[in-house]
Amino acid sequence: MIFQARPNPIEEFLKVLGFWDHLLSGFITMIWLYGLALVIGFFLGLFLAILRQYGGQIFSRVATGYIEIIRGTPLLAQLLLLFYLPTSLGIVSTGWELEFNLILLGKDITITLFNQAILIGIITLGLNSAAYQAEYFRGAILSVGEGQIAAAESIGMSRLGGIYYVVLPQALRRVIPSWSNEAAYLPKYTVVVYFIGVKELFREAFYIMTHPYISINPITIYIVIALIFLVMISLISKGLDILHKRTGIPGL
Amino acid sequence: MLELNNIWKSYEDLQVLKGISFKVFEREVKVIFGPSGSGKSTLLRCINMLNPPDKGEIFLRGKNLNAPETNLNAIRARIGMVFQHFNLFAHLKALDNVSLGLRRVKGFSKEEARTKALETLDRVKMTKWADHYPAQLSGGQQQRVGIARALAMEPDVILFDEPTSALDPELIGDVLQVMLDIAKSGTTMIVVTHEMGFARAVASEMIFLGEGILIERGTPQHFFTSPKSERVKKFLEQLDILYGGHDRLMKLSNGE
Amino acid sequence: MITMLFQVESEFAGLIIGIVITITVSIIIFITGIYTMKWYAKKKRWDGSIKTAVIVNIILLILNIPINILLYFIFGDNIITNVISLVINITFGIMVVMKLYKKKFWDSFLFNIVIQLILFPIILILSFIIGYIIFLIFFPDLAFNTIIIIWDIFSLIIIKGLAITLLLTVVGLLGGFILGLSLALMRVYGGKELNWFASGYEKLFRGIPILILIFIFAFGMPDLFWYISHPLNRVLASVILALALRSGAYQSQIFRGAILSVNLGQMEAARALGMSRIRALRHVLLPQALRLAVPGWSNEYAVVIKDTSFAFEVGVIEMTKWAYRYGTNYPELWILSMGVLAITYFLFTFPVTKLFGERQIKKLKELGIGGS
Repeated sequence: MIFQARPNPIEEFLKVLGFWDHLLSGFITMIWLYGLALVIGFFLGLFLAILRQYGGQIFSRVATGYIEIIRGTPLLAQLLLLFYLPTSLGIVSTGWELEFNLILLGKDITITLFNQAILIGIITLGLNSAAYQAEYFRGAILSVGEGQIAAAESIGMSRLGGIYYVVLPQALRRVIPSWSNEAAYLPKYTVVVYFIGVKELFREAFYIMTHPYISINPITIYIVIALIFLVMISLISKGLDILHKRTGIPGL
Repeated sequence: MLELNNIWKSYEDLQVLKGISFKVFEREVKVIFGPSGSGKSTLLRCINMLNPPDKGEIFLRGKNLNAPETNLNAIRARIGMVFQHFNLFAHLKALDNVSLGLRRVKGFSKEEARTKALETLDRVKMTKWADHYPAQLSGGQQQRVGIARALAMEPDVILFDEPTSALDPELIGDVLQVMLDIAKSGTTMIVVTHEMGFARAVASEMIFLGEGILIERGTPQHFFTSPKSERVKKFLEQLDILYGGHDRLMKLSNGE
Repeated sequence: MITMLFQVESEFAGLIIGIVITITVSIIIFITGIYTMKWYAKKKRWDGSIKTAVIVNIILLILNIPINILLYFIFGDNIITNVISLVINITFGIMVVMKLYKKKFWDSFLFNIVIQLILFPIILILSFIIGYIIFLIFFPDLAFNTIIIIWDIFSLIIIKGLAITLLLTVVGLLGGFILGLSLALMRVYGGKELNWFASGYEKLFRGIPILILIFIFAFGMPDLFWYISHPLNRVLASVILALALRSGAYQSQIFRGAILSVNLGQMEAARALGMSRIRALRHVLLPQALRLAVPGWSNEYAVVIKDTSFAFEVGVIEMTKWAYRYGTNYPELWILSMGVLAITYFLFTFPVTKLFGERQIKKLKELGIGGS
């Protein structure tokens, strides 16, 4: 039967909230992963897009190849591949880690900033995000138009100067709507690293689930975490929207 | 001062320029005209090496532009270009459009560049709009800023690629007036255009280009009274019909 | 490095192979170096002739080989030797370039650095490939073995996992299609309340990570499918539901964009003919909108088929699960199995997105469909 006797959902919800310290540490770890991956993705993606557009036959093909391969394979497969790469190459790592503590409302929270798994996770997410961001940048650069760089060269600027002073300022402003898309949804993909042992938000769900004393319906836990993601993504999305409206240049 | 020697250029399989040669002297205003597809724009882009020619040499004050050692960026700073579609830097205000080259290519300081840019904008009568973005300006205004941008670099010669073809008729007059002023002040100009009134007023020599070949050259008098080739005659007739050349001729001559 | 990667039984055979590989690779490097130098010199508008490049490279070879051999004898094979030999290479390089290309010091220095930077990855990749090929010539059975292993993995993943993967993808996409189209129509033609509902739905299912969604449905919803006997199949059905719901949210966006970009005049003309709204939709708008949606939709297909890889974490036995199993059973072949898995996915996504992607947009523009 579908309807069983379930414990009061509100009670369950509060029980989950009782684990706020774990949720918080998971959340911060997730933000940390997200932030670094986004930054790596931004610079690498921009570099790839510029290479693709202005790189000349060889480099532009290399950039395109990278983008197509990363976009054509699942994030999970990429993660699993990269995870065992160091061991295959013979690089042995001890359980090194970099962490910091904070004490909040009586609970001692430890957050690991870097360890082997987190590093691999960040690199994978960054490399992956770069390929997607490169597509957005490419669209923006294309929309700037051939004439701009011709005009820059006509006053004696070098190609690089033209790219840096004329094309990029315009492309970066034009890319904001679609880039906000990627930026807002990237946190969702950080979840995948739980599989290699990173204690991010989703992983904490398992901790709460398997707690020996307090038993909660796993669905409730998942839903709570899903809601946290939902709220966070909506906030980021809204925030970027406001940013976009504030920095408009007429005609761009 | 500028010499073109036997310029050949092709795009894909199409031979666009076939052996063009001519000289341009200081303070000259050369007007190049002809049917579309005759390679006029391509020729201009060859001169400032945006699209280098396949064969032939270009000499600017004696320097061979095609030689491997030439610094193309430095050369382009001495050749100005005004585009048919303006190509103003959309993310910069009018003032910054003009001063960008001064700051980043010629190395002026912020203050020096600003002063010079304002001076130049004054010459094209756009001082009031220095703080406007290109999107806030009309076509004619944008083109004038484009001219200022080229002027500010104090180039040896300015190339005009059909500067008024993309403008609404009412706006053409202002731009032509600015071009007239510049021509009178002694700037060396090479202008690709259909505006025969302008040519008649200030051109030192006119060149008719057809299918990539230099068909006829001569003073404006020559062309408007007794052109030699049939093609030129037909072309001028068509222009007259299309543009009502007479009217504009009158207006500009009176505006002198 | 090459001998490190391949273990050989007989010492003598190893020596011969090593020598052959080294000689072949050196020749390839030499030739690559000459052509790279010629290309780069031409690009910088220096003297781009083969002759100069050849002379430069020969001189460098003559100068560098004895010095390097001497260094190896004195210092042995370690970091110091490599560093010193690199410095000497560059110094000789600069001197020779300065003399033969007639350039100043700084230009020659940059020239050298750039050539080295370009050559380094090329040589790395080339020598690996050449070395591998030569090795395979000497040991054909090993080559055969590698290929057999790859084929093994591939067929395992495909035969055992493909069916489920495709099932998840197809049904998920179909569900998403129906859902997405309905939502898009709601948003465009629905009026305030429906629009609000559809918009909310979109936000909801785009804001939750697909992985969490799969978990929620896999653990919470199986009871919904009480009519399916086998418990694992219930999980399968739940995962499909999760994928469909998520895909619906994204497809709604695609269809909405497509509908909006069909020329406004089309609907006006259709209504002017006397068609009812629904008729007009069916015969005029949708055919065009669906064609316009193809590129975005092919992208969504790629997304969904990649998302199915998350299903293995809740126990669904699809392609990733098989590769994972193989990898855990034979850890030394982990990279190989993951690589084959990635390539398999790539084979299923790349051709589709290429075929139905940008080319479609161009074709449509030619036909005049879309672009208001």
